[in-house]
Amino acid sequence: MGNPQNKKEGHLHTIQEYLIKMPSLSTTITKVLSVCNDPNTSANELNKVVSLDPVLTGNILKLINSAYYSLRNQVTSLTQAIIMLGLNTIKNLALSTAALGTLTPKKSLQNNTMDIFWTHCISTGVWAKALALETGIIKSQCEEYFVAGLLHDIGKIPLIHCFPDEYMEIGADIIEKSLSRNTAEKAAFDMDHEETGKLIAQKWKLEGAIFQAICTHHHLQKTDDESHDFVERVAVADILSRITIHDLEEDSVEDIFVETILENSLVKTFLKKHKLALSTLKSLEETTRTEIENAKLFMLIAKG
Amino acid sequence: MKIKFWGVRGSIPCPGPETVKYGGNTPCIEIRFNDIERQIIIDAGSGIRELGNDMMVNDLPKGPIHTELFLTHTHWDHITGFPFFTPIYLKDTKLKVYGPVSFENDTLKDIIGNQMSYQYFPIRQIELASQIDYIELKEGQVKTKDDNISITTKWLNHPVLCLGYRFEYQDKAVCTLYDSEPFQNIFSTGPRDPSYDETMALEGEKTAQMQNKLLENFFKDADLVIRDAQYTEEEYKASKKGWGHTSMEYAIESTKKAGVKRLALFHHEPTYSDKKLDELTEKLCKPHTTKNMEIFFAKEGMEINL
Repeated sequence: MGNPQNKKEGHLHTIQEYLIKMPSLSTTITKVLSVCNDPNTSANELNKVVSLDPVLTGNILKLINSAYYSLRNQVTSLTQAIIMLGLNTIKNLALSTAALGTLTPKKSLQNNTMDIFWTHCISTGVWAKALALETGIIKSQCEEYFVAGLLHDIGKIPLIHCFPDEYMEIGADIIEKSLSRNTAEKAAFDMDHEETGKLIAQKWKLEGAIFQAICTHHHLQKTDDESHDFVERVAVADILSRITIHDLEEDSVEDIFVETILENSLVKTFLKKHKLALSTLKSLEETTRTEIENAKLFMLIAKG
Repeated sequence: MKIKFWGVRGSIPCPGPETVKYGGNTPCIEIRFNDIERQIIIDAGSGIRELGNDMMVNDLPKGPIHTELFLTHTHWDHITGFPFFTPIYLKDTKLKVYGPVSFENDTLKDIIGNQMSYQYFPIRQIELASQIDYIELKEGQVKTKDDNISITTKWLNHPVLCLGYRFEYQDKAVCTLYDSEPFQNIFSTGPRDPSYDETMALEGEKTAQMQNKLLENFFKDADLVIRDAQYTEEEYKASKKGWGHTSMEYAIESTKKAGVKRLALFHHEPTYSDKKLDELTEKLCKPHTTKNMEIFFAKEGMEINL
């Protein structure tokens, strides 16, 4: 007891146990169940509900990419996966994931945390796709950016679920001690969410740019050269998403968005590199806000 | 290669005076090889019962039964004969069962073997005397023995993960393409539909075309293709879309383009009588049969030498 090495191994063991059967998000499960239990669900509706659920998206990508002895190119598109695996297989995968349940003792606390987490995932996905479109990526490739944004923080799920009290405490540390989230997570669990994300990405058999986005979105210097520009867009989307959500919650005046952007060197460099005007970003923010609200409405998630 | 059909019917066994000619047992096909002592069985529909009985008479006297069963998928009509395959009750039998599973938590052993549980059957899987190994398959090359038989698998379009097989030996190839529906763009393509999404519609179309092309490459130039053709085009269009089966007309047209020598239409609709299948032979098979490709409805007991 009290041995740091034992404690570290204990955390890792708890997380690995949890990942064997990673349950659904409490935030999305109601809508997922209603869509997947409906025999008349259309492919469009199924695609939409899956694309708004990070755990389900990961499970489907895992299923499609592990269905081949060798696959030259990874499938990162849900649209492709739905055609290749079929509606029925996807619906049943969703139902079997949902049957694993959601959560656990501190339900109210976690539900609130998970709602915030989910909103951030969706928002980052929407931002990543918008930035990709705005910076010359062809439309058909932009979905991969949405998926990367949706999944980039997936490593937070086991930390929130396995250690709910500690996870709330590090939130306070981040503010009081001005720590980065990764540093605070490392101090508390010996692993940050990029490292737990890597465990999940490996379990889901993700590779390439999406894998890199999950594992290095706070450490672009660690991203491999091939995926650098991709992950950079996701990292910038991550920052913009936090500002957007803050704005949504605070209902703040528009200047805060611009002010916060100008304080962030990663975003500033990105704007300069792609010759993006602040005004463009501001109009993208409007669209992003609308998309987040639409996603909440579709998923039957009450505002606030 | 010698191919024998032990069961050709889809969905459910349908014995009776109206199915004597084509047969009422559900899918089971046997492949034997001229100069290799190897037997490959495809599917364990109700037809496997007769095959098992035949093996007890003709194979067992030569020594213990060692065989391989390749399942296309795990729907009932393809596994229902398994508990009645007599060789599994012999202690010296060694059986390898290959097949796809959709989800990692469902094992092939549980899906197939749990038919033999207390509630459904008097003998439990655990009580079987034989040695049965279950091996889950994916898409690609499958090597199960050190001989010159090549086995390739391809995902088909069915409401559960389902594999087509291509067996090749000494320049001859036989392919199974059942149960399968042509890949379709299932996403809305009507811009007036409120759920229409242009990217989804275009990508769906591209993916379906690509998968159908890959499927065509899979059976290209085969000497025999055994293909799902459960419905007529009219029936398919009227009410069977999305059920995971192919129309006879589509099966004939698309197989003709791929340089295939023989097409055995398979997985017959259980409500079709011998008379109906004879009529369809006249209407669909004979007009399309050429010196390059023979087309027929598979019959139970039929043997084909390649």
